[in-house]
Amino acid sequence: MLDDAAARVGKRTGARPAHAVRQRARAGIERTERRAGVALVSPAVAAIVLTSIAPLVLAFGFSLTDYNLLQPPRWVGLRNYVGILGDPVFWKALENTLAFAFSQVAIGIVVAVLVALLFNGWLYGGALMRTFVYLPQAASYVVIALVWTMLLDPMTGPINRMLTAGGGSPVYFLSDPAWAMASIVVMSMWRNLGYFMIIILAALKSVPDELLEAAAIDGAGPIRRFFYVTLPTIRGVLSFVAITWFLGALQMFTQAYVMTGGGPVNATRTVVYLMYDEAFTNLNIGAASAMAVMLFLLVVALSLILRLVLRRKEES
Amino acid sequence: MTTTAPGKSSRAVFRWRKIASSATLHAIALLVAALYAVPMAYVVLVALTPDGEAPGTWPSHAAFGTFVDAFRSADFLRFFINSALVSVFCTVLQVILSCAAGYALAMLPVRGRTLILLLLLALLVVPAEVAIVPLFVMVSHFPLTGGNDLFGFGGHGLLNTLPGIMVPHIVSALAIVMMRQFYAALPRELGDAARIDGLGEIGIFALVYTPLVKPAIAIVAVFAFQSAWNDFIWPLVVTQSNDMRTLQLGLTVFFQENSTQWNLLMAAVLVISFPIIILFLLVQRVFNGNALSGALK
Repeated sequence: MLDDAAARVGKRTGARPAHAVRQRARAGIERTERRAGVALVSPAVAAIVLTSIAPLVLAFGFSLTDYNLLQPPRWVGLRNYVGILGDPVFWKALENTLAFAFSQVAIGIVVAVLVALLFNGWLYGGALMRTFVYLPQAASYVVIALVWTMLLDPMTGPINRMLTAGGGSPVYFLSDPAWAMASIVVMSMWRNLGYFMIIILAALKSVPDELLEAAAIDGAGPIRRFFYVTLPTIRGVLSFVAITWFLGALQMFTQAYVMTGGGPVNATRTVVYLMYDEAFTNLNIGAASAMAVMLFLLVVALSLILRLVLRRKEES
Repeated sequence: MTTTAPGKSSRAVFRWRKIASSATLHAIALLVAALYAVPMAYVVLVALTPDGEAPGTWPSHAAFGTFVDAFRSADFLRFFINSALVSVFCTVLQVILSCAAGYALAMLPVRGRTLILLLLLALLVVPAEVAIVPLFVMVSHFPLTGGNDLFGFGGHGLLNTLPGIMVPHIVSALAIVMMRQFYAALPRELGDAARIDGLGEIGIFALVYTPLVKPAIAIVAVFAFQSAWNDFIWPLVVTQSNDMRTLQLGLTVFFQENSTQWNLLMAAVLVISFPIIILFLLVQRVFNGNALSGALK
């Protein structure tokens, strides 16, 4: 491949042993490749450093200071962390965040697999029905939250109108502490289902038909075929879906901000919500950064644990 | 099939069973689709309900005027322009950056390539919200803008500006990793051949390889556009004045101030979701779940 180039270089440099010419040509090409590589990769790396890595480092730094944006940061050691860990509202927010993420993903993944299996088979109008399920995940949480606030309205919402028409009493979905978080969980699941369904659907297409047919001939029913053929094949994708969905859910903020304002009585306050309040309502950058650091550590720890657990399952 | 259904009658039973199970599956699928289609239809119904009529009742006439009213009642046109500028600019920048870096990491001998890749993969699990507070401080100290001096003090930097809103969306580790995966799947011989024909390295990247990854670019572009268009928490913290708000933020403020005007709200909801939904429908053909999960394998 490089012989032509080597010959061209050879003509310029005069008579030299062929292998030396080839080596020089290759070295020259490598040098230009290297230069091009640096030129192409450095803008993105610089942008990543500025928008992701520097903020992460700064968050660690600020978390050890008392900083209100007006006076320069003052070193306080671990005092922010001690203060947060002693605050019952933080523990409540952490509990809410984990409950939100866990319930949404645990139920959502089962539903997503079932819906994907449903649409994996041939159905009249299957593509159209699938598109309906897939659309809401394109819309923003603000939009979905507004639509559901309307649907769940205790007086004018259609759900409560149906309940009261049937003789029941209205449910205060968003202002009753017992219902608020559950409502947000169902709404978020409704929005995200389509996205994960599409990923699972693609994985289902990769399950070899011969295996399923062979299992059917051996007398395995649809349920056994699913557990012994389909599930092992899509396990890797399912663990990807579980981790992505869970880590995304740990960052819940918008739904609570729009629908409940974190209430009633902190029932929908999340870690990110608390961090937002601390930074931009109380101007306490130090404490907010400490929460960001703890959220970061939580996410890293959970993703490592999840990956280990799911990988072990995959091996067994 | 013939082995399990030897007799004529059992074959008929088998057929009936098949029809019955297919009918059940269709019924379940219809129910699932209805859980999505009915709320969407309800949103359209409410958006077309004239002022003064209760939402959820059949409107006396389809009031398309609500769309105009929604845009008149707040600075929605301004919000729309802000959102469009921010999203388009971030999408273009993100596509250029992730193509360039993805190509270099896949095809060129970049020093520290493994380290950069590991760093990008590690960043995939870092929640964006962790960066918000320090990024706010960084943006407010951006040098030589908003009255700041060379060292970033004295003014408010890029706070309350469109470039300030763009900051978190100009680059994405996931997009770079995805593009690298797509470039790496292409044969190296193409580049070697072009090199011998005298094409420069940048030319090989832009003219030989990049046209081959157009579907991947479509996916990266749609995700970039979506993340900028739908973002809420960052515009919420970085903007102060009404004229810098994006659609998502403007809509939320409008809701907090006029929570009962559901017809205007739903008209705004439809207009806001329209561009992003069209984009998703356009790329649905290339949007394949494998492309998403494949990047992380």
